[in-house]
Amino acid sequence: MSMDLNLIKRGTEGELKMNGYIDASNAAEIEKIIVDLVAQFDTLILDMEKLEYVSSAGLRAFRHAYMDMRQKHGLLEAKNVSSSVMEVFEITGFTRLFKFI
Amino acid sequence: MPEKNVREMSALERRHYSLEARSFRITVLGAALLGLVALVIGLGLYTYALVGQYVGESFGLARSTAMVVSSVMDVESMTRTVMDTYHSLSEEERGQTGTDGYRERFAAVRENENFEMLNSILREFKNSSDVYDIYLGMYDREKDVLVYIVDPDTEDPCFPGEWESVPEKETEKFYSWDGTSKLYDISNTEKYGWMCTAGVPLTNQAGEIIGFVLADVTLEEVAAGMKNFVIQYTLALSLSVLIYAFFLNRHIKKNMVQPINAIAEAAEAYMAAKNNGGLEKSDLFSSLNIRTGDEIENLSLVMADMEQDLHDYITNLTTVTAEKERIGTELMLATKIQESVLPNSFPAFPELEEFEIYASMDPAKEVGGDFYDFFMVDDDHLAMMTADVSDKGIPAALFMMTSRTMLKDALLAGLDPAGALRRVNSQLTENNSYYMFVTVWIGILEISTGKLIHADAGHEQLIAYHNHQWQLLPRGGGVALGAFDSEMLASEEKPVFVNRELKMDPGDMIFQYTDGVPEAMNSERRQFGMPHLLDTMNEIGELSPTNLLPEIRKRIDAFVQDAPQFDDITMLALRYKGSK
Repeated sequence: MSMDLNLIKRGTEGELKMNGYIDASNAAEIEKIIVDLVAQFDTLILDMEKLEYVSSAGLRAFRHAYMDMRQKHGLLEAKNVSSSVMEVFEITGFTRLFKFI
Repeated sequence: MPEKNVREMSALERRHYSLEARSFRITVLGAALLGLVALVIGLGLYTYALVGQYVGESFGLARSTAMVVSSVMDVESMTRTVMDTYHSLSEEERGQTGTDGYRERFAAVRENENFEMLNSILREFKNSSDVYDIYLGMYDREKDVLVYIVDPDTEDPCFPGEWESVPEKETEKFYSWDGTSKLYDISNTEKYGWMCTAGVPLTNQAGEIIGFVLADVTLEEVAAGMKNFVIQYTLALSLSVLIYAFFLNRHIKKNMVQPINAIAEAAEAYMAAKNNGGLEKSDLFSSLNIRTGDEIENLSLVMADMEQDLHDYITNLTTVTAEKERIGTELMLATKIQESVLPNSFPAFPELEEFEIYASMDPAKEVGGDFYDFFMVDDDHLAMMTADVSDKGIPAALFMMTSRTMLKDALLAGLDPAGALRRVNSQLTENNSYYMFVTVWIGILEISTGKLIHADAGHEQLIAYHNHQWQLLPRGGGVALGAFDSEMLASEEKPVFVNRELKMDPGDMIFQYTDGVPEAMNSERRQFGMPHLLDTMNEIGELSPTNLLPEIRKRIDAFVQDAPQFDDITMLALRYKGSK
């Protein structure tokens, strides 16, 4: 896969380090992983330091995670977002999905 | 193990290594070997028994004779006379044994009163039995020589005093007899052939050996018997080996070789049928009907199952392939339908000279998630849009069709760009359980004035040509449609979708596109990029929309080279020429 994922568990809080990129080829797989993690943790932090690129299909994965998290009143956080990815979030309005820390 | 594999062999070699030939060889060889072992054992037992019989007979005779002789007469004086004379001779004189002169030296013995009597007793015993000869003799232990005392043979008699060399073991054996076992010796001499000599020593009152009664039995008959035995046995053995091999081979052939060959032939026939493209159900293995009850029957059953499974698999595969083809056809039709809903005949409005518009959409997959559209809202207003649905393929295409229809409806109903985006967003979020969304740019050009009202929903920035310069225009700031429902957006202070205005002078142009353009990627995963896009466009400068879009596409292709296109590429360009 064009993406390495590393999970750090801290009780009800999980931190997912994302390394790679999300496009149509791997979005479905990553969506499933993130949604599963949302079900496990009350707070899910996405460390996007090494996330190079997110396509629209990748955004859909975050959107799905956000909806699930909102339903269980949890928190979806993002940190170390690179400027190019942040630009995508800003263009599409997806900055609304995350609490940036 | 043959060096070649079975496919490389000639017919003759195959025949040589065939199971049938091998089982035949093993059978015959095995039977012959077994027969040979039996022959050796049989021969041994036969010889042992026969020789034992001869030994017993000759020893018994010798003993009876000795008993008779010792009870009726005194042989000591006779043997002493002979032996004394014998010992008194020189080597040279002894060497003359068999000559008349030599015999004369022992003439005194014949005058002994007992000589003739002993001779007749011995002759009686000899004639009443099958022995070759029975006689009285004495050994010269020093020289391993037997000296004859009395020999009753009439055909070739040995006279008293005559001697013959004997094997050393014979002398030793006869002198060291324990008195109980049968005393005999078997030797092969040139003169007599195979001969068994059995004997009993005679002793005087002092216990000294004074002579031996010896009985010779020729074993030539035994040897001849053995020869006959071997010939007869070999004949019988060969015959039974052949019969045995024939039946065993027939059994192996019927129960092993033929079933295996039948399976192999069925397999070859199966391959031939399959290679000829025969997909119909065959029963090559199941019709074999091998009933050996062993592994071979099991093998044939497994093969029959495999044939059935393969048939099912091929049938299934055919169905699946047909299904795939059907899906492929449907995808192609979907692509055609999708293309046909986008306005694609250019020039689009040949009767209108105030503007020129051109657009293109190249999907990465068969059906894409991108679309563009343009149409006249009324006589003075041209509506344009470019959009990018998240994801690709059929779901994206369905979502695209829905959102396109909604947007067109809203614009035709007279809503401005921001108003149309707002309305369609709430329509799309009502029931969007698949979290799909679409980024949109909408522009409405007032033809009479050149005023462009535009708004975007999370879409790429508009690029405009003004004063001989291409430049990026600020974004409207909206969010992708379908991603955030009205409830989520209601709390925000600033309006989400905002109209912007651009005054176009005659000769000015706008360029709209989807993210497939700046994010076009080469094989090193480097993106074309916004700055590069803007530079490229300024390099190209002023070009009519119809030529501009293919030129940009050419530049993108040059950058991407042979990396696969992984996102839809949609472009739209408009040149305002001014009102009449």
